[in-house]
Formats: sequence, C-alpha cells, structure tokens
Amino acid sequence: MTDPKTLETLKQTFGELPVSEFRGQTRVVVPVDKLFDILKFLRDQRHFDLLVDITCVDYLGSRDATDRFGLVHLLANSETNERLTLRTFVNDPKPTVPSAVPLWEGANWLEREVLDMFGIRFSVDPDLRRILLPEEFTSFPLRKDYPLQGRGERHNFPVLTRDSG
Amino acid sequence: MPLLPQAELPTDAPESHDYLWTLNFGPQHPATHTTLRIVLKLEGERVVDAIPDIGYLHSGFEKIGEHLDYNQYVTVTDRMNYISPMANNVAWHAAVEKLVGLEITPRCKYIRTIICELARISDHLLCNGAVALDTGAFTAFLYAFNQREVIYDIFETLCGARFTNSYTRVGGVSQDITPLVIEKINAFLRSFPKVVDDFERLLMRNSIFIERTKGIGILTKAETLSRSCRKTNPIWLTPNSIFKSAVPPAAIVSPASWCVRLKFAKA
Repeated sequence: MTDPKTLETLKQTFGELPVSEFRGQTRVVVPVDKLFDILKFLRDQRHFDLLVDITCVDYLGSRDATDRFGLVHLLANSETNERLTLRTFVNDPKPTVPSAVPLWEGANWLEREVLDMFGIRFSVDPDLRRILLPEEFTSFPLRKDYPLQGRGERHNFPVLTRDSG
Repeated sequence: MPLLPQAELPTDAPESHDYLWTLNFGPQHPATHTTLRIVLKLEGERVVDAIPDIGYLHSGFEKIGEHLDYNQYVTVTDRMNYISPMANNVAWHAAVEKLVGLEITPRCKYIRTIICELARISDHLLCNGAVALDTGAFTAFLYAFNQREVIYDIFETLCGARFTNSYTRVGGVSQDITPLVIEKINAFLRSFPKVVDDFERLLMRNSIFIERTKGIGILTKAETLSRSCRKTNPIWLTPNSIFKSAVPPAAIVSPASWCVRLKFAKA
C-alpha cells in the first residue's frame, strides 16, 4: 500500500509524474535523468529504507509498448510497510541508468544481475563485473530476442583436452 | 554468438599489496553449505579483503517461464526454495490469481494457509538445525530434521510428492485435503511442541552454541513486529484471527535472530 502523501510530496518536488495503480500496487514512471534524485528523495524524506529489488522487463513485441526496457525499482518502508514501484524506461543502443549503490550498498549485486541478463549499464557503479555469466559472454539471456535453447554458446567455448593443458 | 576477444577481457589490477596472501575459500566448503567461492586477502591471520564469487548459478527460471503456462510453471517454483516448496507454490499461484483477478473459495484459502504454515515450520526447522550443525551441535540438527520427515509424510499423503510438491493450481489445489491428512496434521501438532522444547533446551543450555552466537544479529521488539509479513502482508486470512507475531523475550542475550526463528516455529 502506498501512502497518498508520498505521491503528493513527489509531485510537489519533481512535478507531474505518470502514476498508475493495479490491484493495490502503485507504480510511478520516472524519467532516467531524475531517477537518482527521486530515489534519494524517497529514501531520505519518505523513509523508504529498504530496496527490495532491482529488475527489468523487456517489452519487445509487447502490445502498446513505446519503449524497449522498463527498469524496476521496488522500494519498501520497513516501519510502516509502505511499498512503491518505480519504473524507468530506457532504450537501445547502450541503455544507461544511474546506479543506486551510493544509496543502498546492496544494489550492487542486483545491478550486476540486470547488466548480465539485460545489458543495461549502471553509471558510477564501482564494481560492474559480470556476476552470473562468464566474462567472455556477449549476449544478454533474459532479453526477449534471446532463444530458449541459447545461441550456440556451448560449442563456442574453447575445448580443453587433457593433452593441451 | 561470438565470444569477446581475449584482449577485451577485464584483467586484475596490478597488485600493490604483494605481501598479502590470497586464499580461495570454497567453492566446495562445509561452511558454505552450497557452492560459494570467496577470494580472501589475508594479512597474517586477518582477513583484509573478501570478494565473493557466486559462480554460474543462474537457473534461468524467467526464461523457462516465457515458454510455460501458469499451471505448468508451478513445477519450477518448487525448485526456487527447495526447503519449503509448498510456500513457493502458493506464492506463485496467489500472484497469478491476483493478476487475473480471481477470488478463490474459503476452503481453498484454509487449505493453502495450512500447508503454507507447515512449509514455514519445516523451513525454520532446517535453518535452525543448520545453525546448530555449524556450531557443532549435531544432535539438535537431527532432532529438527526428524520433524521435517513428519511434515514430508503429511505432504506425501496430501499430494503424492514428498519434496517437490507442485500442489497448487490456478484457482485451487491439485487434490482436496483428506481426513487422513487432517489426522496426520493433528498428530504432528500434538507431538511437535515437545520436540521444539527439547531442541531449545539442547541449544540454549549449550555453552559452545551460546558463546559462538551471542550478540550476533540483534533484533529489537519493534523490528521483529514490523517484519512479520504474515501480519503486515496477509494474503487471505485476517491476521488477528490466526497468527500471533513471534516476539523475543525482552531480556534476551543470546542469538536474537535464532530465537525469533524458533518462536516463529512455535507461533
């Protein structure tokens, strides 16, 4: 549940933002350049002290979609149990968003996973090594245009035999 | 898919602290329970840096989900937290029903709540037992695991599967609850509190366990209350009618989080 005061103060500080509600969950669409300021504002002024998750949605082939990727920040206030979803739309090529690591240390692994799986870059992130995939991997498996069976990565890896080692 | 050429791969930064030892902790180590590699930098016996490397652990559940329907995907949710698969089944189908706007019957709400609670108890049993195991109290671990077996038996009677249950369906469950299952649950509820007391006494009077866990993970009463998601985010049944939140005693000195878990298992 989201407190109406949160949305009101957001509107006062950052102007009109598209807000939608679905089955009791409130979503605010945030432009990329304001994302960091809004996250900081929500953490400091509205006490959203818990970053529940950062993930991403690939809208490729989706009806009525205007943008390719929707980055999702799920925030919670651990005292009042208030929850809020932030959605940031980004597009190819080189989708880049500000990192939330200065606000929540734990954002680092979440952002590394989004980078691995969707290829979205986070600026000012101190540690953006791949977290789940090999460093040589050039594709992003959770994009909708990546096939279920993979893209031939298995036979692309160098074969090591007992003699060559 | 082309691979990145060798020259573009990231390399380790030149080492300025050559006197430090580098030690690989894991990936196969009894204390990590599953696989986790930690690259440790040691100065004598002091750890000055630790870089965790979780490895190629991504299971691709989301990608699999793109190709399955709502009822098929429940088999994947079994594998997400295999310590309490029933709770995952319920969470998945509760989400689906919320998405399509479906109201389930009161009977189904009760069945799901009961199996969720059983799954939660068996989850707490494994966590608490594993803490005991890591601090050298093997007996307590076996006490906890023995009770998990009883819950497995209940689930087997209920749906035929002991471990990966896949019990829920959109709008309901795969099989109705039977009198035999109710009988088994009642038998479990009669015997379980005594086992928890035994389990608690095995550990809370154990000086090795107390010394190794004292002062770690302290929770205040307010934090405990606000983090009980059965109270703050009830899915179906009104929380006040059924659940009491587990609150640690005020003068608690030993591992708070462990105590809370134990209280949760009792609540």
